[in-house]
Amino acid sequence: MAPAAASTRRRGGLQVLRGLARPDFIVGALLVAFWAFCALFPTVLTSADPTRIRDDGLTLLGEPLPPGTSSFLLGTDSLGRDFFARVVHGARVAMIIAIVPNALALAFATLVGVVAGVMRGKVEFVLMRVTEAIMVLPGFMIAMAVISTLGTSTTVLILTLVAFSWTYTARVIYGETLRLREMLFVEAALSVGAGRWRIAATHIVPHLKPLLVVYFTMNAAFMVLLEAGLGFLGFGVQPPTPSWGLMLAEARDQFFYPWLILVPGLCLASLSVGFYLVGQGIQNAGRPAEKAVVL
Amino acid sequence: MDEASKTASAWAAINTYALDRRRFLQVVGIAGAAATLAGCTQSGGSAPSPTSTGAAGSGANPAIPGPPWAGGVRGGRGVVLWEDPTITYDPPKAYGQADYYGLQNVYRGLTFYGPEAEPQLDVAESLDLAEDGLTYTFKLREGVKFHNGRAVTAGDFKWTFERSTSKKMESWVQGFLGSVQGHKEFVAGTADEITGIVAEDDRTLVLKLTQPDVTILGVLGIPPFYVLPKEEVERLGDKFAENPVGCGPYKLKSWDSGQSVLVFERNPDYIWVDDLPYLDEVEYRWNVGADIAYLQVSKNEADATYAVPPSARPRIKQNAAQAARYKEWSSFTLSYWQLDLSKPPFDDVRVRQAVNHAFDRQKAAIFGYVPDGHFYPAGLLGYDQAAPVFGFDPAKARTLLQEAGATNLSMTLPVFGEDTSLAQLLQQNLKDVGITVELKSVSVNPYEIGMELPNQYRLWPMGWGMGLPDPSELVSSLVGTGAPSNFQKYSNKRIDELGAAAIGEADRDKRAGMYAEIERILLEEAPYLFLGVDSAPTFISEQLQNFYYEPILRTYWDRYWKTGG
Repeated sequence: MAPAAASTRRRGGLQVLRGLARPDFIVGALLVAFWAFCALFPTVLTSADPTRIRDDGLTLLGEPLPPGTSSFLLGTDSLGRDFFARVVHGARVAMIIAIVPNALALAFATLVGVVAGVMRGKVEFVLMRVTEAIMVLPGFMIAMAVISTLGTSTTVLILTLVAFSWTYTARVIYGETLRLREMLFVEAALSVGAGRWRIAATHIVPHLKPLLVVYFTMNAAFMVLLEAGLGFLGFGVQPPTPSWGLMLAEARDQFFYPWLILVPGLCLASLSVGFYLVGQGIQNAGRPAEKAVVL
Repeated sequence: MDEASKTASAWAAINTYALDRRRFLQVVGIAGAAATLAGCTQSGGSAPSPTSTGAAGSGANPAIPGPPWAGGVRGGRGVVLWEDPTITYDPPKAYGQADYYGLQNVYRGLTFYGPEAEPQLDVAESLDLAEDGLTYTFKLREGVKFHNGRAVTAGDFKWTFERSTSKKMESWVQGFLGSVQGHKEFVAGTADEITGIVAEDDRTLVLKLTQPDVTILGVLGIPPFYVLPKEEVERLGDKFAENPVGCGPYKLKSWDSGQSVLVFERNPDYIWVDDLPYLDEVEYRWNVGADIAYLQVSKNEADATYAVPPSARPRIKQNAAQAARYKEWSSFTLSYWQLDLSKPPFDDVRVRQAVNHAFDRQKAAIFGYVPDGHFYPAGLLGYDQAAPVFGFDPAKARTLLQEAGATNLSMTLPVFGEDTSLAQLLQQNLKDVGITVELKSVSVNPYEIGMELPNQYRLWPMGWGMGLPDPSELVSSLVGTGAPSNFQKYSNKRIDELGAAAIGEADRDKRAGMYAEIERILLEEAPYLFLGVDSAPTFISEQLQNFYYEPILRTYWDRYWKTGG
């Protein structure tokens, strides 16, 4: 039985890889890879300080310089800072927010969903009712209230994003756990005396991986937009740290200088779409593999 | 001495403190404003008539105080957009832009400000000033009524003045009647009334002073001293804030906090209703961002905004059609950062001087400030162009910090409001001299936490819009020992002495010298990180006519009119 299962996994792996060779996934992966590169190595692309207010960064009338002006590839912002440098360095905040609170939220959601699904009974009832109670709260509003109370540090921001983004995923994982525990291979494990936690660790969580990968990428897009929304309202990372949401906020009355709005808007859109396409690609590619495992 | 001579004599004594015409024109500094003023050396009738037809204002009533008003057209609704929220129309409590600068629509007082920021009689018909300069006898006009129909009496003024300056009210004008007999005892709680305010009969109000006070008529012309009906204030209680009742040209028609809008309508009992106001209604909308306000006014969907995004200003100036509707007026609104003087590092004057040298205030001009480094606005009595202001000198700042032993400083700078641009400029300037500043967005109003600010921050942004065109206000409200908005607890004995003496000094040049010395002390001791004076932009619709704006009461919606319906 074991060699046959390994063979099935190999076939499944190849099917996944073949499934990923789709234009939408490739575009998404390239977008995410590009912004990940910007986040990791911004100085490769620009040596300019993204926070430096430049003496030569404004016109004599005090207007920002348009894209393509002298040494400013994307022009300058309303304070005279290099806008290209701010866009490139802004990717770091976006990627951190896309990954760190997202991973923490996913881990927490997995813990809650699996425990509720495996334990059942009172534990299941309490965990799921608490999850549902938090789900119905207006997360964005409460996030603003929490941040304005506790301050606007990056730690508070990340924990707030985690606190209000794990619930939906927890519900999905809970449902998937319930489905998996009815599977024959779980019953087989039970019949040979495996405990609940062993089954959870060796049979249920591994089968959640495709789902977790899809939700990670989908939630990454959501996190980036959520941080941008909070940043736009002044509850995100604090200036002068470049953040796309903050850049949009600073540009809200700059309607004569469209690049100040368009560029960070396009950055946000491209990263979000990139994550979404990657998630979709994995989801579509993963289905045959998952079926193979089940069969 | 007949009534007219007495009044003329009084003005001669009073006007020693007012801005002179030349200096005032320097303040406004705008050709358009100069032209407006040139046509109006006296209130009312001498202003040039506009080309509109069907004028309601005959111009034949010279008793109407204030800027030019004649020749307008009745009808229509004026729509005004404000960034700040409207919180209260209770005059001594109002301090926001959208409420304080709307009070004169609803209320009026003994005096009103003329076109050169000089006090003119309003509800008072005449004034008799005793030769010793200590007793002011006002005779009220007949026929002045509150919106509820009751006649305004001298007793209403006494009650209003006591209410506005009472300890319980905690208004920023609490000390403004300090020269009136019995005021100190009243504020201290040892007297039930201000004995120096006497209502001799319904139309005669007497103010008795303990010392000459050249500011008193100006004080009586600012909104917190506009007359209120006692019975309405007591009946409505806290609800009076949103149900104002006065004797001004407009009365409240509706107030909708949810929609952030209030509407005034013409007061049919207004004392000058045959001439003013021109507009049937005025609508105030607040919580409107500067960007939205600019767009709405540019499309003539609203008639005026006083918040124009700095980013839009260069483009407006390059557009002839919009430039004609746009003006940048100098203001009497000061901007600065207060420094906590009680703790390190700002208990050391060298650190305070260092941060003043570190700040590149010329760059602040793009954010709408006039950054000349002074504490006083240009044109204010005591403004001395030769005063030694702080120049941008990072090297000197670093030297001062080294001398003070203040290295590796770090602090949090609160940012009140959405725009962090100026704070980011300061953040960079201080970083360049070795001071790390972290910005923190704060949603509360700094005046609400007032004295708590030093417990939370080492420096914080502040602004002060002067309600009185006289530097005495800055001493009594900001820099004097124990002044209500002296949140940093600054104290200088010499400033207190000069401030007290200057109130009673009738010689204008001597007063100017006293206040100039106060500013020099401030510039030397640097209790603030000085920024400058706000530039006040106004942008109006194509239809709005006779628009006039000045630093004290600012807007005059009783005498603007609209063309084209």
